Amino acid sequence: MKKGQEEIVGFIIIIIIMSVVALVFLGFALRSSDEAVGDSFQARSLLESMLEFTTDCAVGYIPAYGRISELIRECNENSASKCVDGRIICEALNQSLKEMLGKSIAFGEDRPVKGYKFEAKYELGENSDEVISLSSGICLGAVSGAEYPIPSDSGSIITRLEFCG
Amino acid sequence: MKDLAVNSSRGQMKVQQMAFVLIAIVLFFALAGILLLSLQTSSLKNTAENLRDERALQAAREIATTPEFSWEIDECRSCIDLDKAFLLKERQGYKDFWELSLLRIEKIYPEGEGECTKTNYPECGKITIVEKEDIFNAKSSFVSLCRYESSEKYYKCELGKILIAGEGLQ
Repeated sequence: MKKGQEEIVGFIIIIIIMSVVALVFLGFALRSSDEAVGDSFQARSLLESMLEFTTDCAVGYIPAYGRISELIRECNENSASKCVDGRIICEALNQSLKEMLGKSIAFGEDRPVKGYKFEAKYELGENSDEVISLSSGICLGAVSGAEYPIPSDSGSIITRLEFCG
Repeated sequence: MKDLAVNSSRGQMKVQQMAFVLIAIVLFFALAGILLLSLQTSSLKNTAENLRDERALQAAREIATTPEFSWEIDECRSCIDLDKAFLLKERQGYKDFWELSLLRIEKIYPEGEGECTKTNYPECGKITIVEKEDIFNAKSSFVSLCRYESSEKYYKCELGKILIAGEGLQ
């Protein structure tokens, strides 16, 4: 091979190596901004408002209709407990949440929000027990979300709502 | 002498080649830097727009905490007293109170239909307190709509939205 050709090959190899290094750095820089789920004001306001919703499940007597936050607490303390009308509290809670989220979030394949995920976990120290979890739509990665704690017994129930994009 | 001249010109060629390589490397890094900067600038613009939107959404939420709307029965920042809001609808003095072109409360769940009047309240869909002609860039925030349910004698909260638009948001 002639000297000039050798030098050009060497030059091209240097460019390729620099491109690979630059791509690796770019990959790290972009990935780190994707991992964090932003706290969304909309998610937070929806979550807080949802927890105050009065359901049609009366706990103990009529008209002690429980709010979503109260039903979550009841469901955590005793998963077999029932509403006055005979429905299991956890099931009534699940149904109310599903209907409410379906009406309040416009999601779909061709929309910015592709799906959502709602969960409530009882946390005491390092232990964590799931109380309720529901999701709908396509949820490959959360775009934004919010958390709200509900005090319960000696620990707290952390409710979390995520919008998926 | 001739050899010296030839070697010297070869050396000059090498130096020139090196110079061109260095210029190419610098140009490459400059282009990569410009690309990275433009990516970061566009994400900064997004962040600024998101912050502006969030501030408008918070303003919508803060109206819910004013005495005209606040729910006094229990501590609930996201709760609006729907009965108070309905009474405000009739008060002409509040039309310019908030410097807004739009102030509306809508029921999301359970759904209601139509504007609230004395004949259909509370089985209705929305309460419009302020609605002027030029409405643009309306913001909305989720709130709880609470009221006293007189038929069964208990306090009831439903899911709703507060919509606002206008100069009062700036």
